Amino acid sequence: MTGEHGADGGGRDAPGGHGIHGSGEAGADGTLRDALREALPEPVAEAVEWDRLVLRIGNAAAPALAARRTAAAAWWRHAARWSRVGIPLAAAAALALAAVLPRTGTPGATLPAAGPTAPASGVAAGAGGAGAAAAGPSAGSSPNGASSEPTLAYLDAGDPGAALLAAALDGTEED
Amino acid sequence: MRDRDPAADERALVARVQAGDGAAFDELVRRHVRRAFSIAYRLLENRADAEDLVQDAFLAALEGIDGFELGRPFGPWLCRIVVNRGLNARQARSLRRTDAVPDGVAARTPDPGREAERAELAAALAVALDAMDERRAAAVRLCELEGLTSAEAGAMLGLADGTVRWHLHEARAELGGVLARFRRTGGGRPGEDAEEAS
Repeated sequence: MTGEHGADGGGRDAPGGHGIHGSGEAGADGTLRDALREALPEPVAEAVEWDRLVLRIGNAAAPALAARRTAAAAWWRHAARWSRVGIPLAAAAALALAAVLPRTGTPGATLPAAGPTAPASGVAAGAGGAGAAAAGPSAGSSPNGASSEPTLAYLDAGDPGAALLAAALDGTEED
Repeated sequence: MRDRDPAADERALVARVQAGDGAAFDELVRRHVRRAFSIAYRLLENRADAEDLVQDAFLAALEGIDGFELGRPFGPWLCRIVVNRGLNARQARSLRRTDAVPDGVAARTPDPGREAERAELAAALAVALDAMDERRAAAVRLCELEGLTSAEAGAMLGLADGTVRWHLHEARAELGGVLARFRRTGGGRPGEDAEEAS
């Protein structure tokens, strides 16, 4: 058989055999090894049909190897399938958002920069309070020159909560 | 001179196996099957069982090959699987030991008297080995018979180099006792030796 005879500097006994016992027991170890080798015979390589064994192992491993190939391909298939649906969907969603967002009345999106009071004055105007006047001429103005009403669509004028909020903000502004 | 670095070659082979390449797996098996079989046979002492164990070990290696660290040698890793599974197989079933010469073993001398004496000694040593701790017996098989270093055997058995050496020391003492008694009595009953050895 093979083996690095004593290559590790003492881990394995040399074929002549002295091992960890030291050279004094060299003969005894050698005899023991010979006896062991006779007691436990080694296989004759020629008795094994290596090609058949390799083929047998290969056949047994074929399903596992096929599963590995499938798993490796599955990642790409998933990505490709989702990209076919996902990319148009994302594009459509982006277009829809671009079209819808300016109309939703988000104060920040529709009002020109009017300072920190602009949203508050818009709320006040929508609630019918006196804040519209206090907000100044720029507040609530829209690109088409209309009043600030389009920006207030998200507030219900009849909502008591909104009225209270408007009043509170109005008071804050007056301060 | 070598055209290619064997380590790099094997690394590439393992990487291909990880991707499911059957040809690469066959090549890997071809490279390591003899060594794996030899160790399996040492542990199980039966050709058919050893072949089954080798196949089992290669399949287990394939199953766990994603965890194999590329760049490390594949052989010792595989042999460790063989040893672990071989020890489990020995524990799981009682190996039938027959008086007949096992299949696939080297031919013996035709002298009937000497053959009978050898058979007695072989039986005594085999029984003593069977009575030992599994890992100690495996250390003897791997180092004394398979020619591995204690460090290599330790890596396969999951033991430190020093521990393997200690096991070998103890095993040699036990087996040496069996051998000495056998020589002293000019034969003897294996059962007695085994009882004394254990």
